[in-house]
Amino acid sequence: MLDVLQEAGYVPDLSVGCSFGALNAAAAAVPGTGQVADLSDMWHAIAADSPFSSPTQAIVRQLGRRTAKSTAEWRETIAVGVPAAHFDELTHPVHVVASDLEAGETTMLHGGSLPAALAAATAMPLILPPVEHDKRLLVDGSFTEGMPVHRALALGARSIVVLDVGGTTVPEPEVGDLRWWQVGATAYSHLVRAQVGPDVTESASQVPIVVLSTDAGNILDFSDPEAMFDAGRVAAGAIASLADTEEAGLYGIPVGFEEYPPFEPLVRQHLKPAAMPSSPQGE
Amino acid sequence: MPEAPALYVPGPRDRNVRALGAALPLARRLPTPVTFVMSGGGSHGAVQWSSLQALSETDIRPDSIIGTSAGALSGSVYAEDPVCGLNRLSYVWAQMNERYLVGDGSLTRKLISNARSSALFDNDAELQTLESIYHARSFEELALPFAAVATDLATGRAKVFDSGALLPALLATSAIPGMLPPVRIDERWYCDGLASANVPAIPALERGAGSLIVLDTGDRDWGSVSSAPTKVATRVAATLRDHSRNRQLKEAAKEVPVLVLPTPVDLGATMDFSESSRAGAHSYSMARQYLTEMALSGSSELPPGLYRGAKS
Repeated sequence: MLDVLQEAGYVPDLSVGCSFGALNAAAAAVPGTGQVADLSDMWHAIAADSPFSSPTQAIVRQLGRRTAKSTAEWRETIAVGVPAAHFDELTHPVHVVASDLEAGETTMLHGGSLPAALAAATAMPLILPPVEHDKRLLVDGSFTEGMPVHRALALGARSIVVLDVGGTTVPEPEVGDLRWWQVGATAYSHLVRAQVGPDVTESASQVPIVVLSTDAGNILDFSDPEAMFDAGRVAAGAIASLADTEEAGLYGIPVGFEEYPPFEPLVRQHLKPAAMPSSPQGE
Repeated sequence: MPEAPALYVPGPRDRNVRALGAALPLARRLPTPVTFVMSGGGSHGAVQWSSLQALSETDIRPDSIIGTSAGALSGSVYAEDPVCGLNRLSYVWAQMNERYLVGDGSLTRKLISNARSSALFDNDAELQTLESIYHARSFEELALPFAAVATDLATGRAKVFDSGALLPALLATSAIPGMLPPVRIDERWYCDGLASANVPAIPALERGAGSLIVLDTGDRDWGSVSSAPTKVATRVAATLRDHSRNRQLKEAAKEVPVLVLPTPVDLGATMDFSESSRAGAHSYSMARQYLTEMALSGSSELPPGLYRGAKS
């Protein structure tokens, strides 16, 4: 998605990144050229050699309280895509969304150690331990924030482009075959996704919000980054059909919210994705 | 809540409340139809029985009931026969423990034998329990209009069951993800309503409620925050349910008065049934206090909004 947006000349004045989106937001703000290539390397590293490439192993380590290896491995993976130590090294302000475990509320991080902030934003329970920050334990930001557009608004955004990695719908033939832990993860990922509706509704009456949304399969499946990149390019291609306007409202609809009543009065334009580029995985 | 003595027994009503007659007059403040909204919460569902007891001392009678998970189980006992529902619930909760829901067998053994199944436990024990509680086998046999909320496992959308076979819908609404198996009804898979609307206020509104009485299930005492993996996971799960609950209440309160009965926040784990009675005693006192304040603070019909009791 970032690739397509860069080519189309969309350069952000600031970014807000939640969960894995924080990794991408930071990577795209690392000075120098070729950020997108670094991003690709990072996602291949996540797929090949990280706690997320073998979540079962990571969970066993966690339950045995042997978290040091996962934590070190994860910091190394993050450094592949984001070779920067501090927020102030970045080309534009990046705000990272994490969740305060005790308060059950969002914490915004935008200064100090960047790797620590990114580790907190992606600390998925059972797979990675919480990250201690200012005497608080922080976990993955998606547990308190569905689509953090109102955070961008509060930071002064006049228009917002959302890079949405999609819904949590399980394909029909697979529902009956889920194992017990997958049923649990699916049920709670639905609750994560449900936060999107109210979060977006609140902000879309104030500024134009462009939503580039892709439903690229299971959010816990990190195995095929190239297929994800393709899906992202298709979804982001929709930006080409964006009308030239400053009217507040929704341009594009997050996957899974096509029939969400509160969005109806806010939808200004249904963005049409470009045609699927030919690729070996194309189906 | 004051320091709990070893034995806690709620006191009698104040003299000025008794002077008002047999039933506390509160119904006149509620636009009809009045819907009882009953949340999920495992063993914490016991506090709803106490909230119902406090409500029975008022002149409020529900026109319909909607419930999720544990709230659907208690709600349907009440809906089956409102006259004796409260008394029947006392016997349900006096006997209830996890064996009546998930059967016998150690968790460790289940982790090994059911590693590849859709749940760690089967729902045979729960079905047997439901068959012994209810005489009704369909929604149509219940005395009050009743709805149970489950989650469509594929899409995450709330699904409201209000007609046809009762027991499969009750198994679905209470199919705790990972613990009890998803239930297949009309070609689709459903799990516990906690994954879509654990406090089903918006579904109640969509069914035409004029005012909502929310019977919550309280919260547990989390103690200090810890980085132990399972504690992190349960804490995060609770945060998600909390945010969902707040969304449901906020949305519904834009349209109708939403009365949220106060509940204790110092309960144990959701599958620990040992403290049900103590939690219930506190819950009854808190609900009665709240309802009294609502009745004495005016006689006019309540405008839309959220009416919460003070948290203990």
